[in-house]
Amino acid sequence: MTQPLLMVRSLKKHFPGKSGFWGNQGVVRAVDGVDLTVYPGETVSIVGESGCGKSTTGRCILRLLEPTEGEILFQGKDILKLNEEQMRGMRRNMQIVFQDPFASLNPRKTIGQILADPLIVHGIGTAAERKKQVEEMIEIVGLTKQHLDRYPHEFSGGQRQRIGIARALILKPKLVIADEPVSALDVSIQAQILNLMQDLQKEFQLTYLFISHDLSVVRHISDRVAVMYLGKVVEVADKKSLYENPVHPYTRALLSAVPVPDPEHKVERILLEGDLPSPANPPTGCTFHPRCPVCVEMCKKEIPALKEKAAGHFVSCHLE
Amino acid sequence: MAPLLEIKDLTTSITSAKNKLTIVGGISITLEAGETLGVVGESGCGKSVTSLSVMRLLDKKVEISGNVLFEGADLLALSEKEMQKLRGNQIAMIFQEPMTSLNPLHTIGKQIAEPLIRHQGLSKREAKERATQLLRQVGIPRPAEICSEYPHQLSGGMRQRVMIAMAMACNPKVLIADEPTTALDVTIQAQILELMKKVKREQGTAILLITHDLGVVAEMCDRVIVMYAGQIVEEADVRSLFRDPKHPYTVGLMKSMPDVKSEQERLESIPGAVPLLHEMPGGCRFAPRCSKAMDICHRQAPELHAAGDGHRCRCWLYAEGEKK
Repeated sequence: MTQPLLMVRSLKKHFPGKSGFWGNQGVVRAVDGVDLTVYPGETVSIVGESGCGKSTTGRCILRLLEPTEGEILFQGKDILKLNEEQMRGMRRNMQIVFQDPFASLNPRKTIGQILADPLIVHGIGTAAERKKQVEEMIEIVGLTKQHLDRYPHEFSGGQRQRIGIARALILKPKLVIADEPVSALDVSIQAQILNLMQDLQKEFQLTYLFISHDLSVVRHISDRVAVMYLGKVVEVADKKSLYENPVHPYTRALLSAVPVPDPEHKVERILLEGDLPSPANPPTGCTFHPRCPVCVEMCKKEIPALKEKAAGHFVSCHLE
Repeated sequence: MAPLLEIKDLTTSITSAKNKLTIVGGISITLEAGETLGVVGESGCGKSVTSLSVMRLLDKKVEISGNVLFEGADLLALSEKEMQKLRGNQIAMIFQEPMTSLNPLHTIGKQIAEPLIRHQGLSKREAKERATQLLRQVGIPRPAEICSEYPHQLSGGMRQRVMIAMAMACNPKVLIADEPTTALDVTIQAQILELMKKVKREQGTAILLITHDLGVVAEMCDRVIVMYAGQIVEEADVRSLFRDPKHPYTVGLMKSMPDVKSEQERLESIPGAVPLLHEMPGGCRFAPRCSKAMDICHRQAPELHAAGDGHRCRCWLYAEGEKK
């Protein structure tokens, strides 16, 4: 089997809790032991609701946030052992596309400058070579050279996301982490961007780690999917078996909750009670047990491990 | 029988220093008692401005013309005082962002009690009791305690439940829900949709549901209006709209949506973007993005025509006899 491009082992990110008069009150376990493997050329998605730790996981992998514990192996090398200088060099191979195309582009720079910046940071090429690369890149993402002299506010949301993608790809990275890249966009524009991302993946042999809350988008774009709940991965499988045979009760409820655009579709919904618990004070045992429709006594005490239930289908649940 | 709410030729525009911009151009909508009517469209299509115009919640600088008839009275002709008697009483509204639409300085109980005291003349104590009861109805645990808490102490889903409790306080005949679940996670959205169905079942409230999510429309609505660039482009009952969408925009919208129930190789996207208010194309507003556009589409704006099957559609493809 090919060597994984990215391996994440028991990754943890704990933030200090509320600071009060008596000092820090506990920790917020945003990411609490995530394992994830990504092979070259595939698209792995992390899906989950707000606060499940999916974005924090993405940022930890790039070390935009410093993980508390764990290992992140990129092409077999533990990047948590790199110093800042080495890490910066490493990021040439791993880039990120952010959710909000309005906040992630510097409003005082032209698009040409924004796209040239990564090349300058990594000391690539002469000014003339950089200009050529920037001009090529802007056309690859479906804009034109004339756009390079304009500023971000002159573009629509979809165009800005194209620019965000161009900025990530100009360094020819191997891994692109896309953190909710289409969530701020309308559906007709969302489809344009998803198609663009799929085209670029083929053209540049990219590997995507796609982070999203939208189960329909995830089904469309992924090869494999990891479902996160309260800082942990509760189920990982290839797309087909996850969507057709979801095993974990949370995955089942999540999939059943998505409204289907078909009035003839009979809604058979597993309604979850209550809200997501706080990661500052997670429930004992299986963190899903207070909302789980099939919870038994053991679930309240013991933390279930992620076990392989079928080939390539991992679930952390005592019952299955 | 006259419809419960009838919007006739509603036009909303703002005058800037340079020119007059029309946000909503000549919308006519009828809402029957007890039905749920969906208004779908992408950002900037004018769906929220329509609802705010009906409720008269827009700035005075905004010009609104047309008629909004509710039980025989034209809402646009009422004085502000008369309008206040209707708002939150006969016609209630829930918004997308429950945090910004609740007052952070008042307790939940006080906010729910306010319309009860104002519109129904309940005493403070009665109103508080009723508020607790309403919170219980919308499925809030520990309603008595929650009454004395503040909005920031609640989660997004709980806040939206409070908004619904507040909107339903005076048993309104019409509920306008503007993207009520857009800010919520999918499992919480499922809870809120179930709650809205329950409210409708039990009280027979007519709902005008504004959303961009076709899944929510399919699940909740009886009839649907599709808006594009400030105009209605298609209207149909929900089943026939999804079975046989007619307007190329509606078709494009449906094809560009990834499906959670099946897999497709590639999405069909609609090229380009929604035109800006001051750059509206002269003919059909969708023509520059339309794969089926003909000569006439660029020259002349189509009217909303009957297109069979109870559909109304603003497209030259369905107006054979009327081409000039």
